[in-house]
Amino acid sequence: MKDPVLKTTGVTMKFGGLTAVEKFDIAVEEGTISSLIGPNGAGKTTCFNIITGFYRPTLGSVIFMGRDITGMKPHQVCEAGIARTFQNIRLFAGGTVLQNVMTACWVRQKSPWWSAPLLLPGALREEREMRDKSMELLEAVDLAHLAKEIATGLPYGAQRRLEIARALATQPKFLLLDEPAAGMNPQESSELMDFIRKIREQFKITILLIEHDMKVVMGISEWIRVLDYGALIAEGTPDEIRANPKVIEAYLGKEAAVYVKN
Amino acid sequence: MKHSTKIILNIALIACFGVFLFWAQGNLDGYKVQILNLIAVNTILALSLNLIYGYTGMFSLGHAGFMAIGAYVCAILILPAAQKEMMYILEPVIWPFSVMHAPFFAAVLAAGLVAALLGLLIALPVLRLGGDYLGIATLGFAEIIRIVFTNITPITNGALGLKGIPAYANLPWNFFWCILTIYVIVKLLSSNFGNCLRAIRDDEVAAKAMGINTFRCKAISFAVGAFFAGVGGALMGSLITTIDPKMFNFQLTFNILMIVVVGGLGSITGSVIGAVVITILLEWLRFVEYTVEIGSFVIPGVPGMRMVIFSLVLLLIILYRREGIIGGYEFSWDDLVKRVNARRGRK
Repeated sequence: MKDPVLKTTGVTMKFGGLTAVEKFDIAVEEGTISSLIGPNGAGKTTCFNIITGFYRPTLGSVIFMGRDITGMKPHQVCEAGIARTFQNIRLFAGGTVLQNVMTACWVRQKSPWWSAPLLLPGALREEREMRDKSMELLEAVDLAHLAKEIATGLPYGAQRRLEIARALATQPKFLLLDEPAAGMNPQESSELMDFIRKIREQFKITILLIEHDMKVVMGISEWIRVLDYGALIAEGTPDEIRANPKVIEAYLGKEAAVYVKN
Repeated sequence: MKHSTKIILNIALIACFGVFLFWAQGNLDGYKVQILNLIAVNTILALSLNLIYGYTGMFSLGHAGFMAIGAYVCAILILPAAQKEMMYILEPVIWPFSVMHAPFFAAVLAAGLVAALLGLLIALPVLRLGGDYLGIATLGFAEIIRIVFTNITPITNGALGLKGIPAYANLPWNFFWCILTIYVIVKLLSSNFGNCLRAIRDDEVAAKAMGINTFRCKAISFAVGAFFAGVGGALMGSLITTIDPKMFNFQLTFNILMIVVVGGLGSITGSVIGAVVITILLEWLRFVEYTVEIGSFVIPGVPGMRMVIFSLVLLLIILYRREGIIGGYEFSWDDLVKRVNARRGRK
């Protein structure tokens, strides 16, 4: 078996007396799409925040591509190659669609901040390249025609796509999507599934997502991990998870059992 | 529109403005020239605060402090040694401040650099705070500067202040620095670095997740803002030729904040127009402070009445027009051409 691209060992997060995540061990294989599911408050977003550096875990370590990234600052984690989106969309409200994506290019930009007023030719060239690259990315997510619109004026689905495009602009190896299908109708979420598969192929990235929409989870994931009360209770392929009595008890309930039969 | 056309238009605009300044210097009286000078200085100050507050979203009330540093550094550098020796009557001026001397341009530059350095120093602890707390901390910083300047008599001549500062800050110098400020800030903000600053203002968490070192960017923005505040303070000192610590109180910060808010947070055009409008109004509105006689009625003048009016105007703008008087509009040649064409099309 290949080395996992992301590996966490014994990650535990305590907020005062509350243990939000306990002994969270995962190993994500390169190039896969996998999901993290669990009831509300199970600690899924906390795990994302630990991986992306927003929280420093109380115990344990996060290894990304053979490099220990535990306790790194969020911008360093992003520089290392992990990008994320948020549960509630967080676009840069005042900026245009293009500016949103360009901002994310900054992490790969080499020319220093003071080069713009000095009109350094290298910096101007790099700036143009970033702009072109951002436009290409917008074309890939089918938002190029809206490049000059204010980001928050876009329809909901487009904002979700833009947030993913912005994350891709940081040139990640690993993409974390926090409930990408939240608030989408069945039509939109099925488009989203195709979209996620497409970007995986196109950008050669590994994707880990949190999702409540079971159709999306079962339809897209190659591997599923289930979290309950901060602990991993099961992991496996969608079929295994469907049949796992622990999962049905903790999370899916009777309704889902009916869904499985049908 | 082609990039080169825009450059030519910009140069032409600056040239026209230069001709106007040349004419103004010869034909306008001293009072009006002084107002033009103040417009230039206020534009510099407003832009520097707008960079910090309007574009990076850091609520800073420390501008008077940076101005004080700039004004004192510049004044000490351009005052002749003999004059300094005469002026420091409380305690003699100490070496090396007694013999320091520099040409005006270098002195203003040094004023900006010292202010930027101090800005950077206070940024390190203070920028960990957010929102209103940052405002209070920077306000405290400005007060500390004022008190320190009152008490380091061998350097600043204490409460007596510095008098007879050479009046080098004439129209050409002031507008040279004003245009330089506009240029640098416009270039910074239109580059991708500017996008980062706006991103931090709009959503700091998302900015961090997108790989922006938010603390570093905020510190840079703060230091650049402090630099131009120092430059503005230096020019102000040389313009009115007298400075003392009392001058750099909260009122001064408030005036600049007013220009920025009236002109529109996050609008460069707004700051420039705000500086013009507020500077002229501050002078023109003096009549409300005079004693008025209507027949046998005598209404005594109330000093400070202007500020009451300005406070009311500010209140109304915050309530009804948050984006400022010109509504967040940003001037560009493309936009101008579009508007002219649209008007022609209508006819």
